[in-house]
Amino acid sequence: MLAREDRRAPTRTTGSGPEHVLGIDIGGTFTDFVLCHVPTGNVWLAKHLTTPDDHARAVRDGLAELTRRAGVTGADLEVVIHGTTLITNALLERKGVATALVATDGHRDVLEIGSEIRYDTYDLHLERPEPLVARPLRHQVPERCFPSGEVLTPLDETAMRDIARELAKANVEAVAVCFLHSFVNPHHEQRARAILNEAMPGVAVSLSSEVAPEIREYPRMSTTVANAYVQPIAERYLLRLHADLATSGYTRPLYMMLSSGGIATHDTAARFPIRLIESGPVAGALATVTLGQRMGRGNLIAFDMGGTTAKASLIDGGTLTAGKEFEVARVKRFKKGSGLPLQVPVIEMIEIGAGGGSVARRGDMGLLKVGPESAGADPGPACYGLGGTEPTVTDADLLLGYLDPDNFLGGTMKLDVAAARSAVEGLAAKLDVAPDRLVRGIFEVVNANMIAAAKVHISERGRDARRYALVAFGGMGPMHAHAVATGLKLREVICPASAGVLSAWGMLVAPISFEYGRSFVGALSGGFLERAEAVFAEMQADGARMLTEAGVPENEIRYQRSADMRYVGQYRELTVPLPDKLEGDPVTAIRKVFFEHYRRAYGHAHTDVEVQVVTCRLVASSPQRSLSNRAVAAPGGQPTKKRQRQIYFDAVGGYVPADVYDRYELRPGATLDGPAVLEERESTAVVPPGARARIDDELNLIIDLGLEA
Amino acid sequence: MARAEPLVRASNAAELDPITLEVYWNRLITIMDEADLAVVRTAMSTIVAESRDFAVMLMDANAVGLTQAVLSLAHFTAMIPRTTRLMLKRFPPETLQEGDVLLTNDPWQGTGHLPDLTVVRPAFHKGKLVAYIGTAAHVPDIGGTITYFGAHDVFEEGLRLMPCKIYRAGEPNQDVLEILAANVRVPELVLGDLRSLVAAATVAERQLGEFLDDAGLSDIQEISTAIQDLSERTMREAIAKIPSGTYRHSVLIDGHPDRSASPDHAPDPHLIAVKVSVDGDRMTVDFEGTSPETRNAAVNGTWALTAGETHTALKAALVPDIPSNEALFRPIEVLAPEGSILNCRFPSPVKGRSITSLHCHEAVFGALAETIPDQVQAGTGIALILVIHGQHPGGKPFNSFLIAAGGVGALSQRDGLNVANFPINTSIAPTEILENQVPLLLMRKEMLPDSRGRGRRQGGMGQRLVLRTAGQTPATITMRPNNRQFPPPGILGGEPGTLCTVMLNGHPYAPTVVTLQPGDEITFDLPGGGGFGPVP
Repeated sequence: MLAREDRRAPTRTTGSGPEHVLGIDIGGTFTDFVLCHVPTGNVWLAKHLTTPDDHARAVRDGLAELTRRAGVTGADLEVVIHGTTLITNALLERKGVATALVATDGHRDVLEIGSEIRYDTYDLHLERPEPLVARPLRHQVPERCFPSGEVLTPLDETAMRDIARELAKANVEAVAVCFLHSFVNPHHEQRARAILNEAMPGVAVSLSSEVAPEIREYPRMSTTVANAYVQPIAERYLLRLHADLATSGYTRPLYMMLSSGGIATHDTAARFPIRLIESGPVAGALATVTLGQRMGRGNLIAFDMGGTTAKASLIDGGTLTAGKEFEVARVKRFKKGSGLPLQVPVIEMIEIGAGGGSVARRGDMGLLKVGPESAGADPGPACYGLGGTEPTVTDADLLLGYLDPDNFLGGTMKLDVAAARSAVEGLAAKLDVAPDRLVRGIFEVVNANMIAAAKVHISERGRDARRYALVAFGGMGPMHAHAVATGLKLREVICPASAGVLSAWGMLVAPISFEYGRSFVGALSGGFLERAEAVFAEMQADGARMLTEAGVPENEIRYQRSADMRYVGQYRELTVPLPDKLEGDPVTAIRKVFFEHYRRAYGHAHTDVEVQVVTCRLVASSPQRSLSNRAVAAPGGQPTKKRQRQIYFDAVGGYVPADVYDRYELRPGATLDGPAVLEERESTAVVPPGARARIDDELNLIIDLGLEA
Repeated sequence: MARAEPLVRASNAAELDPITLEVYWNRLITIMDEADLAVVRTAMSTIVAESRDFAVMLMDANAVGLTQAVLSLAHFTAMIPRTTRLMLKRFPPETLQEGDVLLTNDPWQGTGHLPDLTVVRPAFHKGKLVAYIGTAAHVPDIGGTITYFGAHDVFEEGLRLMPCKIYRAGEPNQDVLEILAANVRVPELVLGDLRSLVAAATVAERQLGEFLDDAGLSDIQEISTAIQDLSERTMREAIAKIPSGTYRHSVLIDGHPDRSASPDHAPDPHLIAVKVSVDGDRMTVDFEGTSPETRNAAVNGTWALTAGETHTALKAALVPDIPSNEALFRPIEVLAPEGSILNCRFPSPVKGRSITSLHCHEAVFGALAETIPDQVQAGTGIALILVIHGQHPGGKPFNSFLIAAGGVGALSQRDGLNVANFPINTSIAPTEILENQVPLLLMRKEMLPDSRGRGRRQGGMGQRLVLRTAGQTPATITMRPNNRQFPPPGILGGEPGTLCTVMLNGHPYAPTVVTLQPGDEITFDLPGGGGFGPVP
């Protein structure tokens, strides 16, 4: 897909209007830039160190560099799309603003009590996440609605005014309002905002009926509070960045990457910053989707393995799996239930503590454990020679021959084989195994951990792993992909070209879209559907307004409806896409669609039980941008081997000589047989014995593992 | 290109070194997690799907408990293997076929009361019986009295099914399923839950087969032996760190009045007494001196439940991080006098038995507090269970279920958790979901700061729940409060938490069933946890 960088003269646009698109992805270590000239497919890349004290600085620097190199100004940019970890980090590091909560009288502690479950059954000492708002700032006001939305107790405006005055004195910078059943009747929340605005002008107010208008008060409250907590930060940052862009000549809206895989204007993002959570990894998954489209493949697993974590997401029939919940800022890393729940539209993604820096150690019972603790960048793996003494996954990869000590990060960093070996020997003695066995074992255990997580994720969705190809990126992805794919019984691994800036690329192709969800509970019946139609129409009107404001022509907007449904009496819903046209009686037709999805997910469906709708959903989106890349390299002859080195492979039970190639030398059409490694600056791809690899027209590496189906 | 050879492992699978065992053990846990998800996603009732009152367990070919899902309820997994072995007496392994599924809810063979169904599926691989998949779940109804404590004997408590086959070689046994459906109030939910347990076991059997193929193994016995040996050894090492000796403690818990006595008469409490004897790397937990079984209320525990609760508490105290399995408990013998409230005889009434058994850990922790103070916890405000039922004006029934937690007891280094359960681990239904299911409003759900047991470390806060009718429809609530006479105890000089109180329209309310009429309001104050150490 993504061609290597064009090193020729800049293409000055001569046509009418701006023709370049720019993607900016701020990650933990690097801020990546991709600039693309749409008509020609020319691409410019840049990578700058992230500036944690002020993210906008790296953005300014990178923008200046790229526009200079490409010979364009901000006025030549049709659109700038941006993804950031700002929101995730603010929640993780608890660096949001002083926030207050106003809840229905009697329910302010929902934020702290949560669902009451302990995420570890046996751990007496477990810690829960501190709520973002402590009890003294959790206020409650007399007001109450029935589940129908009908008012039982009107909002006590005098009490509300008293609270507003008190909050004004308390110097809070943001207020979250969350009343029971407000997703049905938002009137009280809206009145509360009016009163708050009056008493404390300029203070950001987040309403649960706007941020996450869905049933289940705890995740809705948690989401609303988290939104309020980061809103002033997001707003300041986005306005500032937009102003910076304006000075370079770009005056159109800045588009922000959302966790749902869509993009929205910075105005929308500033109101709902919680929708920006985890947008970086989502962009990587999105890039995988477009890669699949270009390669004609719909069923893929995007596998991103870096220094501390591995992430995976499923793509089915060319579509990412949409989820509606996410958990952030976990107290116990990777332990489900130990974080703050968010009701936001997300791309479903699993994350586990498996990366190059994952530390191997002896567990309680003398068994080998790998991760989730990471050696990080400092001291890092033992082989970095920065003082690390515990063996990590990278150390094992080095000793297995996957990494070249003299050609790490393009040869800019030399790896210390002796230090890696000594770290391994230390642990091997503690485990009472041979050092060689431990080296293999570290590789095996970290892969097994990733395989197990992926298997649970896949079977939770009632899918069969075998249908997928694995698309590997991130620093460690292409190295471990063959083993992970084998464990999942996949036949094929794809290592995209220029994987280092995959996320930034993914942003360029994201559609402008926004997802709406509104809980509206009722048994599926003709009367219910008529009322639901009004809810859908309202969401559709909101979507039309938001997208036309963002510049999408009204006739190009697409709407996809879906509904969260369940059997009456059940507590979990299944999100079911509703077809545009229903055949015959709509109730029967929708029941049928529900049964089909239920059966696909769980193997059976009860066709005699009443079905209930809980939440109506709608996605309004623009068409996806299609960027065509001019192939930069002509098909050429077979590649030359740089050299050979000894590499370990489990399948043959030992070290074998493997061919070493420079990935940048490979031309479309080249083929090669395993065992082999392909080195590029940021990663190394491994082709196991018996596998065959080829380079496609867009320089992607496709490895056929040669497994029997 | 196809590989010339099937995948040959470099390490001989038979070796089971600390690396291979780590990988295999985790695979077997993952299989149970997949089965757990299958239950959560397909179960029909609130109590199973949302409150997670169920467990799944993998047992080896000898029905020894091997792995469980991460969130499986501990007391269930402590009992499932024994139940399975008892079922196999009736249906010997050599007579079992692929696709057979066994069921029982007999309190004395199963988990201690009738609503818990234990379902066991033998798992075959290439024609050989290699494992058993056990699941247990609390279904929403099993017939009999709707009260928690009202039965005089187990016959009044509903349908009792001795071990039987509900599937024979994959074919449902309609006779049994129809008996079950005919004897419960919500057959759709009960049969739906049962089907979900069977489906989960099927998922697990398939995954297990895949694992054996991947590993090139014909069964899991060698892995099982390795897991058992290592687990038992680890538990022995943990016990050996406790100085040998005899440690005693007792706790008083709420009693129940003689049915003939006047309701104003304060009932005599029950006593849970324990003698923990540590002898090197072995431990005996003997509940001698515990109160006798009673016919005054359905609060009698069976021996298996007592052992399960004791095992859970000791695992949490001694080896919390070791994945749970049956071999951990080999060095621990649990005794309870026959005919006592912790080892009751047939046909004692048992439906509300956990009101008693949930206190076992308090006695055990109390006994060990002096010697391993950093590993024990003060008493926890026991969860309140509410079953809400009635009929909408049109005659359509409604039914829902709520488990609400009190405060957790304090630890030596930390205050107790606010509003959480121990030793059970369940979640409460969201208020907005509850109010959509039954015509009640939960007017308040808030923490009670003054409920904490004081001490060097304070107990966690309990909570207040206030329920009222939403409109003109009355609703009946069957409740199971605890700690009404005796608060959660403190430990090592810590003060107790608060009592549980129930108020109807502002007045104390003693009975355990109430029908809320329009305008009625019922308030539950759930106890805070006990404190740890003297108040500084």
